[in-house]
Amino acid sequence: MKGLSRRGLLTRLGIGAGAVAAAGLAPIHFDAAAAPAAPSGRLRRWAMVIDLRRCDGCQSVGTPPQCTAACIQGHFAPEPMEWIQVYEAPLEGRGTQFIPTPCQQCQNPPCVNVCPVGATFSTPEGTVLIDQQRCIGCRLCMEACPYDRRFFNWGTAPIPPEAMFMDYSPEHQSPAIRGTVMKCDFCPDMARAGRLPYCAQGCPNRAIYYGDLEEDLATNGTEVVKLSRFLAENNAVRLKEELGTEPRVRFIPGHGEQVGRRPTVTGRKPTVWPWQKLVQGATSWKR
Amino acid sequence: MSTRTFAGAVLLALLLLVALPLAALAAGSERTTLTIAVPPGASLGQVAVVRVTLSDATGQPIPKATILITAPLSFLEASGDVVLADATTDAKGVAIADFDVRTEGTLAIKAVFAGDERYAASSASATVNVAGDGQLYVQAAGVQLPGFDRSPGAILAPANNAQANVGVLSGLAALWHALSGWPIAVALMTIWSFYATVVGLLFRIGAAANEAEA
Amino acid sequence: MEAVTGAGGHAIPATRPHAADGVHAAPGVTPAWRARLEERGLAPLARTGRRYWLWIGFLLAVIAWALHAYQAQLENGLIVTGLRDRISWGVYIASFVFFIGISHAGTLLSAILRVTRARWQMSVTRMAEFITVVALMVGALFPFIDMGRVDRILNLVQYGRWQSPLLWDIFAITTYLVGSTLYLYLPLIPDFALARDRLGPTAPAWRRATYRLAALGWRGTPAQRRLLDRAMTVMMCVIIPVAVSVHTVVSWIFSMTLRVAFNTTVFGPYFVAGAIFSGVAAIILLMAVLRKLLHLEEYITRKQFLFLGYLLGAFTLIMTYFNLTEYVTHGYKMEAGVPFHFTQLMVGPFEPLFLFYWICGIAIPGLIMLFPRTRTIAGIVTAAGLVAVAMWVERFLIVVAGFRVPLMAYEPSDYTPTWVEWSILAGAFALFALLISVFAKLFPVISIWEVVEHRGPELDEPASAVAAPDRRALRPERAGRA
Repeated sequence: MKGLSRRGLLTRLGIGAGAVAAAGLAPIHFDAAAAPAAPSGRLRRWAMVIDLRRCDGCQSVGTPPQCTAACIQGHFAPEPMEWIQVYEAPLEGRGTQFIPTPCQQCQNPPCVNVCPVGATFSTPEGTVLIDQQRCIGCRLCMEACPYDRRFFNWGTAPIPPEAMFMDYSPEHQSPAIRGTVMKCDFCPDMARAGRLPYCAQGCPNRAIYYGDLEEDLATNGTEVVKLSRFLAENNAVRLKEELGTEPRVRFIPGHGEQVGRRPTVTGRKPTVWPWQKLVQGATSWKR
Repeated sequence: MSTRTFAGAVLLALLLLVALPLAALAAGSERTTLTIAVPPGASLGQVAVVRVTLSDATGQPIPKATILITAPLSFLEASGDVVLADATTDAKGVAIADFDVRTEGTLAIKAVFAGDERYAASSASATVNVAGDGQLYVQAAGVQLPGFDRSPGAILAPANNAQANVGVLSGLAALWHALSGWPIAVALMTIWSFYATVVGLLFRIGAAANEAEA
Repeated sequence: MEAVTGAGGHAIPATRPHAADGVHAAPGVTPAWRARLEERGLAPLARTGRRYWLWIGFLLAVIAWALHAYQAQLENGLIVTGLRDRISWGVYIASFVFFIGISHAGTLLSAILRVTRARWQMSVTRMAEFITVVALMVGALFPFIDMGRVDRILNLVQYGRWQSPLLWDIFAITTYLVGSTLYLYLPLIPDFALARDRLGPTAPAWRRATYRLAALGWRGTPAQRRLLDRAMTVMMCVIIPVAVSVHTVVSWIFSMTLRVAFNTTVFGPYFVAGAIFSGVAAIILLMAVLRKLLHLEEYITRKQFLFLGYLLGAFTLIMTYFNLTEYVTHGYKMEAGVPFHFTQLMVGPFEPLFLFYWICGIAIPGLIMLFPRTRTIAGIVTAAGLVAVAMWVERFLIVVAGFRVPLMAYEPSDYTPTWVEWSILAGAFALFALLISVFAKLFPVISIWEVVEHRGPELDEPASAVAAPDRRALRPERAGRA
């Protein structure tokens, strides 16, 4: 995958950081061969653990959820796509909990099973990707996904200027192609470069852990944990387990109590797409 | 009792009153010794068993103490001491912890006793050489039936697993791929062979006309 | 006997001997009756009136408007529809299911009833086969209209995955289309021969050539007759499992997903039953229209309407059975998502459509067929019309209400089709009518030779036609009959 480092290019062209949320979130494109991802040729098996005890929907920060914001800025996700979406679900009794929900990267993915042209596929690392150049836009995958995690380009999303310097790859879906499907891709180019995905980097409470089931480690950027132990000791669960999709994303139940949230404090700031306002003539649609 | 003695006694009492609770909060002052025994080498993917003994300054075993087994590991952009396992010492002060070894290379194991009101913290280190290779985590989903267990020929097993990158086919390969779905292929070929029969009969109707005219 | 006027305005002598032999007329068929049948059957092929061209013009105008709407969709993307992420299938896919469903008309009538040797339907088999082929052609357009990237259609060929329900659809519908085209063509051969012999001499060269080519040199010899019977028997038997599998496979684009409303095993048979139900309604409607326009009252009598009406009534019960199965098995358990689905259907936003389906699609047609007072041709045609509309509504309910059930903790969305979707749907109906009208001009709408062969005493007839049995009609030799 050829390509100039975006950060390097931006620095050279003197484009301000306005188009990029934070310097640390600029995507970096490395040649795959130059930076092997796993030790000794063992393939990584990416997984994610989201500690809901530390997610308060960014209420304490007073902003729209930062995981979503980081993802939108990093990928230039068009409005109204929230590839990681913070749902507010009711709890038993009174109150709600926030559930940041990326693509669940299922191991028995209903979307991959039904795609007529194989435009969506599983990589050996277990990540489900979409080849926007092959997608015919039949939306069978959107019908099949039980987690509401796939988004269709109904209209023509605005093209971020940076997209002109990027080579197409299923691993970074920019620019959006009208008539095709997009979704969270677990940031494979970030992982290959040894970085956390945008959402994990963006979370102020470090609630999102990104891990490898092969080496059995996970990190949220500050601490490293043994993944299997972390899951068992914290009673991690998966969404809609009974459907048999075998997701790679797990959740530790909670309602933000470790960051001081009471379950009865409801509501979060609505998501915004600031980069889209910078592009002239930006249009969008409702989900 | 003179006033000075009385004052001294009160001072001592106050000191003890303050110092003792403080002392109780801090780790105990009693020195402890932690010894660790690890297997010299381990295989990737196997379970390594670590045996730890905790004893006090006099060599007496300390029971019911929690020992953590950690190792410094790095993952993506973070690194730190990762807790691999934990165990509690028994009456003989021996704790046996096990964990599955997932990182190859030289693993610097550290056993840590955090200490409690009575005992001081202590730790012990050892090295385990982990050798071996091979993929450990293989995702499995679905049912593997004999004869159907090869993707993409699998029917009941999910159409795509982590090893296969299904869909990257073209032309003739797609045809072969389709034919590997033999129930569909058999059904289609049966029906289309009936159609071919009918078309053949149509040709014969035409031929019979020519015969009649001839 | 009146002379038939050919396309050029010349009179065709009616006393010309019929070359389309090999047709063993049933007892009771008089030459006069037969000649009248042939004249009526071939009349649309022979002459075209102004009303026909006006009708074609109107249909072409509607289709042009639909193309304009589709052009808007190609230019701007599917955003011109009311579809969005949460309800991503709507009018297009509902109409796809509807048209493929109607196509089961032909199979039921031509194949199932032929296999059981029912004779009353012989006069309507041709129309039923028309409906099948045309409905398949129109229905198969909808998945492509619904696609986000139609320019990548060839990806289906190059990268097609047989594990996908959409590919099963393509296989099944293609197979069914080829099969039903063959099945339409086979019984047309003797009628083409009749047209070749009766109209050919006075028809323009292209028509003459077409009839001659399509008739395959049919002379009605015993050998040919044997071959034709064998071919028709093969198709008759093959087309039934194909048709059943087609709509089962169409239902599987829904029931192979994990959505609460679709995650049920009954969809296959449910859709097939619904298909036959809507197909019967379509036949009744087409029958009524063509009978009036082409003066076929003698051959399409109250009997055909009655029997098809009985089928319609029987299928209201079958549909009730399947719907109740769904509601009872889901409703007893009330799994997560089911309360929402039932609420939205029965007392929520879809309540009017739901009631319309049950009252106008099931109850009223059932009652019409129940009571002799309402069991008239007008009543049966009304019932069929109601059923046709109600079945489209039912497909719409399945698709849209099924998608509307929320998958995660969000507010359910709404779906309002836009002018683009309605225009394209109207264009599809216009295309359907256009193709039927063109077929009616190219092929006799009534299977002349089969009616002659199988007309039995149970068909109503004017008293004059049975004045004296014609002994010529009773052929001594039965050799060559398969």
